[in-house]
Amino acid sequence: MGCGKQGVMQSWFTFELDGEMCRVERESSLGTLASFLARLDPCFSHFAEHDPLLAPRLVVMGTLEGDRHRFRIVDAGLLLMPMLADRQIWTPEGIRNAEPEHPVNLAFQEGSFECSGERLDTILALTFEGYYRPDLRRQGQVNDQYDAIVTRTAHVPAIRETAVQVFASTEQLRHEAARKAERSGEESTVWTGKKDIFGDRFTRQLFRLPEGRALQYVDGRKRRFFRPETIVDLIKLNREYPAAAYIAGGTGPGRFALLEDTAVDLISLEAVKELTSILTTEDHWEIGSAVSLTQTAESIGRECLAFNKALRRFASRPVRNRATLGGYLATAWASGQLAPLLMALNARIRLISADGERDAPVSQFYAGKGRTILQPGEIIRSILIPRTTEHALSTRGITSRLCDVYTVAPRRTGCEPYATGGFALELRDRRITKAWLAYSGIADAPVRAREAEDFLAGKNWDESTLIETLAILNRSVDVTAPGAGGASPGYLKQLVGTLFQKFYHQHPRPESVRPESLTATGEFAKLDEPFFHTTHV
Amino acid sequence: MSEPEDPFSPFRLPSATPAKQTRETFGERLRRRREQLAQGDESKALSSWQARARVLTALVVESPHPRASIVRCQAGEARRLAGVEAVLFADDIPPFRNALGQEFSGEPLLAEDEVHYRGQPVALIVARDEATCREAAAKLEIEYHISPGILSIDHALAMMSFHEAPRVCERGKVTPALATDTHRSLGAFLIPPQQAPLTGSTEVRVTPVRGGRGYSVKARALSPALIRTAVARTADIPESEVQLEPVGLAGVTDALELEPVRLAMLATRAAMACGTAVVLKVSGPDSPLIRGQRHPVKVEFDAAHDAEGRISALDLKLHVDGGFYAMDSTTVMDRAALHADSVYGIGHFRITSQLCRTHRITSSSLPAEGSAQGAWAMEEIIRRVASAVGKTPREVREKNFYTEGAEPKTAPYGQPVQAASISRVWNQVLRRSDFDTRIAAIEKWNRKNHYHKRGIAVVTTKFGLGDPRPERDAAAVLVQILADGSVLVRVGLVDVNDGFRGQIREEVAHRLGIEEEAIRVILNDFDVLPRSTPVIGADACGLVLRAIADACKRLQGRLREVALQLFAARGQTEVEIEAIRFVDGLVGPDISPTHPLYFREVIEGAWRKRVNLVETGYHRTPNLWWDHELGAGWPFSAFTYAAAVAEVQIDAFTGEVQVLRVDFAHEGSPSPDQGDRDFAQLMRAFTLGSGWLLSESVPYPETDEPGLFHVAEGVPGFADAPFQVVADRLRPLGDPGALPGDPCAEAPVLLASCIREALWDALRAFGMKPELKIDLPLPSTPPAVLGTLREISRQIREGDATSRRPAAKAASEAG
Repeated sequence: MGCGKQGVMQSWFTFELDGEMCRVERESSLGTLASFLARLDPCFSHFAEHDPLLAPRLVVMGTLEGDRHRFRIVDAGLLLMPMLADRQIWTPEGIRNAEPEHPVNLAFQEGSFECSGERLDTILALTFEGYYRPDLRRQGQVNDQYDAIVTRTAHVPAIRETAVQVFASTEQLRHEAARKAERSGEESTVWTGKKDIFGDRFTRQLFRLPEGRALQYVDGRKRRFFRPETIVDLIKLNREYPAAAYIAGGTGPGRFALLEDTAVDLISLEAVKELTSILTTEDHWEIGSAVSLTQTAESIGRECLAFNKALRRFASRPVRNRATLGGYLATAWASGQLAPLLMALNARIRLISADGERDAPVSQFYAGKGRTILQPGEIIRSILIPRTTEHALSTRGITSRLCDVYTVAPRRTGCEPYATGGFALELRDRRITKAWLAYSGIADAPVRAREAEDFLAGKNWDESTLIETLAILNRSVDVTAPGAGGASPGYLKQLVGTLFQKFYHQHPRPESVRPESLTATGEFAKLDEPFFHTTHV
Repeated sequence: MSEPEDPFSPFRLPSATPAKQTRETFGERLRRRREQLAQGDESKALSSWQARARVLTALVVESPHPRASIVRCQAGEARRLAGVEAVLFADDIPPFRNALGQEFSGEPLLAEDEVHYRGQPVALIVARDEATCREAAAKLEIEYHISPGILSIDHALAMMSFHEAPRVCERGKVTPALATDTHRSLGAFLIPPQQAPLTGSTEVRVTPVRGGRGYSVKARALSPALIRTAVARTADIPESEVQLEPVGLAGVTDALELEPVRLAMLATRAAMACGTAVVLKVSGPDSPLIRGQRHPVKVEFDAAHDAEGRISALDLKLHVDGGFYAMDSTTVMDRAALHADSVYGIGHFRITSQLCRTHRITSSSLPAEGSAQGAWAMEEIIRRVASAVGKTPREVREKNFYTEGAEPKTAPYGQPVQAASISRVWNQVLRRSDFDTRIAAIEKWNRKNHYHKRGIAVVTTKFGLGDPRPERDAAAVLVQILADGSVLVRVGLVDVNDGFRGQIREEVAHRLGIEEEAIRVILNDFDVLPRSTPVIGADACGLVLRAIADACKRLQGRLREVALQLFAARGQTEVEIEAIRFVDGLVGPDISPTHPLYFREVIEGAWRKRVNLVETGYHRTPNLWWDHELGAGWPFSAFTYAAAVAEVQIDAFTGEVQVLRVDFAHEGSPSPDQGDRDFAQLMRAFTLGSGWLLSESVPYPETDEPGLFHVAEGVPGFADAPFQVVADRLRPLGDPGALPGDPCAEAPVLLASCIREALWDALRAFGMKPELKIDLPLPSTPPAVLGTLREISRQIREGDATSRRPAAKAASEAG
């Protein structure tokens, strides 16, 4: 695979499409993979009709993230062509033809899925990614894996049933591989997916994938696309091309299609090492601004449960696989689900520019009406999230930290939420030392309820405190934005109080960090049930 | 810059700037010429091949007002814009040609002096591309004199704005019966519309063919045959000159029925004006011309019942919003009235249905349109009666069912109802869902949990298969047996990719005794079979399967004669022709494995003897009739019965609703092997209904403010599906010749009402009482549910305060 040397503009690049090397020349740097495929061959003609919500056109992308090779499901309609340089793409058509006997292909041969070809393609591609996901272990994750399906024609029970069978077969494979690897002490490589336990055509090719390299591409209309490798190069490029736009995951729907007729240059953050890594120290995580949300959840989700919870209701799996925390913050989405959580987690944002570095808490990052404090030439370097390990808390004299996030939306995923509330309390025994109450969707930027936070400090965490706080929230938090989905300001105002109430009822005891289950969901959906039960002898 | 060597490039796209070649080929010359023409730098005089080679874009200029007079139309500046080929107003269309046809009840192709709904086509702009069209549209000078429009049913009722006299269907003597019973329940409520967000492109392409003598049309449509008729009428050519290009659909909800017909006629008019191929586009994704919205219905009722909730008389009024031009709204209204009795045998029953004329546009392109509104109206009334007499809705439902051996035995319009089927599905679903045990468990759970409450409900439905317009209840197929014994089946049906091919294959394989792999099914072929059976509203599958049976029967007759001769040639002369059967690729009276006569041999014999192996099958359901003036008829080929139990959970913090479990008992298709397809169809239809009731909010009545909400955001997603689904598929009772082919495609939409009923049950756990005057809005989105909960607590609080006041007063007086 070639991408040219540093400093030389090139008018071509290559990527692997369905196992074959594909060379792209002079293709528009703002064109999407979907439109490329639609022109490439009649079998891809349905890629022309792309709608991020109702008709996503999904393909599987092979990537190397840090030291791990991964298949990621992505939406071809949201993927700009130069982003593909040095990547692998498997279309559903390719998956079907490359290995017809693959378990995923076999699972979808039966007639009960009879639906249009495109719909079946979507299900197939989502299952394919799930098949290779080392972290897909429990039945509750099926909904997250398939949440890109929004349709009146999906046969959900059949998809769920098939998915459980397919993923159980992978789990079984993984358990067997782990048992074998135990002898050589490499068991962990199986569970983290560092080792190829499948050995099929797809993974053989995936594990050959080299690290993403720098790219300097110029398209037929003389628009440039840069993919620098280091932050120094990035800043240099920024100084050289001040009008260029930064692009991380590129999932802001339709943003780049609008630029098609303009001469905008793009600088991709995807290969910048400093921005694509997660540093874990004893007291915090530093998440690079170009790390995808999925990757972030894989790294911190086990310890920071609220982050996983917030992501479960964020867009859809193909979007989460590409969207980044940096991109999310820079677009200043007023009703996004992550900002209240980041505020509750007391996260800080590190910004960098040619003039140096600075940092700011998330709550001060938003400047209202879709604006942020980012100056021209400045980029988000990373997001610092404090960890809440026992050791980290005890050094500050804190006995427990309760944190949770609640999103209310017209449906579970893939829509503009009405509102989100993120809450955190630091307690010394029953007494609150500090509180964070943050909301999005109620104003033109995510906000913190400062008055209520001040009130809570020093109070005991009990029902009377809750009732008094509700009165303060009602008085001090103003709803200024029109609600998404026709939600009235009255409803949003009500949510400001009820979401905090819900937080209290899920976390009534300071000593218990795990939320209490309030619903009957567990009786009906075996969310924690593993796909595969091991029988230890 | 020198490019590094590229050792591997198995395929690549044509380069944007091709290398210069010494000689231009014909194809290149054609392409260059086409590009020049598209740039608009050439004169408009075109030879025929040039006309074919270029494609223009047409844009519909739509009325921004629901009701207005057009005072002035000027297009001088727009016409002068470079790249604009034509701008058409109503005046530019020849006299008597500016009409959409009788299906559109007098709507003009382009509005003449007045516009009657928002989005009504006013002008057509044809230009080289969409950007030029939009630029020209901005330069049009159209002046409207706006009048206040009628945008809701209430407004239409107040203004007495109706399409026609009310239609009445009555059984017994309702007015005197209403006066006799001791209990009366009256009320009114609204069933809002639902929209059809489509997943694919809605543009229509019309290409002149055969030197402009004919047209080829490509449109995403549920009834392509209607498009052919409409295009032929617009262009004044025989229908045989119109070709239809197939478009793949992702289910019945992926296209509309009459809306594409209007667009195809506009596109044809544009193509005629310019003599070239035209791609027609509408103003945007929210254009009413492509949105397809169900009919809102306002229900008024007056019921007389006893203390047990048994309804003796019911006066039901259905006010249906028919828009300004009533397209097929009368059929929708009829369907609502014909389903309004649901499964309840009420002795004195009057259904008055009235089509209101509003300044809107409505559509009947969604499954179970009309029937769902009718059946849901009845379920709502039953619940209100139950609430009035203090009984559970389940008890009141059971008391009012049609019962075997008791009057009434027919629906109010005279078609017999199978009471046994109702009790069968009802008992089955209660048994399967373990209803009584779960009620107890839910009560226990609700007592412990203050902020989440669960509710459970059971409903049953009766759905009429077929269209009240009998002319639509027919199907044609063409079965061809090829020389090697394989079979080609062509069906006059649009392909909605719902797995029907499999059912057709199974039917043909069963009839001819061959393997399913040897059968190929071709749908969407409207050149061979001009009649397309509607996939919405009619029992398309049942009709097609019977048409196949008809064709196979005749083919079998001919093949039996051939087989008889072959047996005779083998010396088996005692074989009786009637005894010859076709099973597992073999033919014979008693199929023995030792001396078999293979199906393939019979076909070889038939080819040698020049026997006709092509047969057309046709089926129309006999004796269907419906007279709306008499209020009587036999409008449906059959009824299908189904029941469902739903359990839901309400989150009192947010108003969000989760469907925990749904149990179904339904009558499946007659084939035993179509269980998976039936289940898939059942889930699709049920999802459609649950989205309508729970999340898909459509602004009604319309306002002038632009909508902030993308309706597609309310369509249920993967994670919104019920956690558990249990379906019992029962063998349908009754005459096998009249059984529906695919009862699960539309009927389960009606079953979604069990979710609403379960929501009410959960609200009762939150303190909802019969005396509170509270309604749960439809759709029950989180804001609506939370608002209702708030209202419940407010009214309870106020009620407590008023009841305490006299007591406190008495106490103070005593003190």
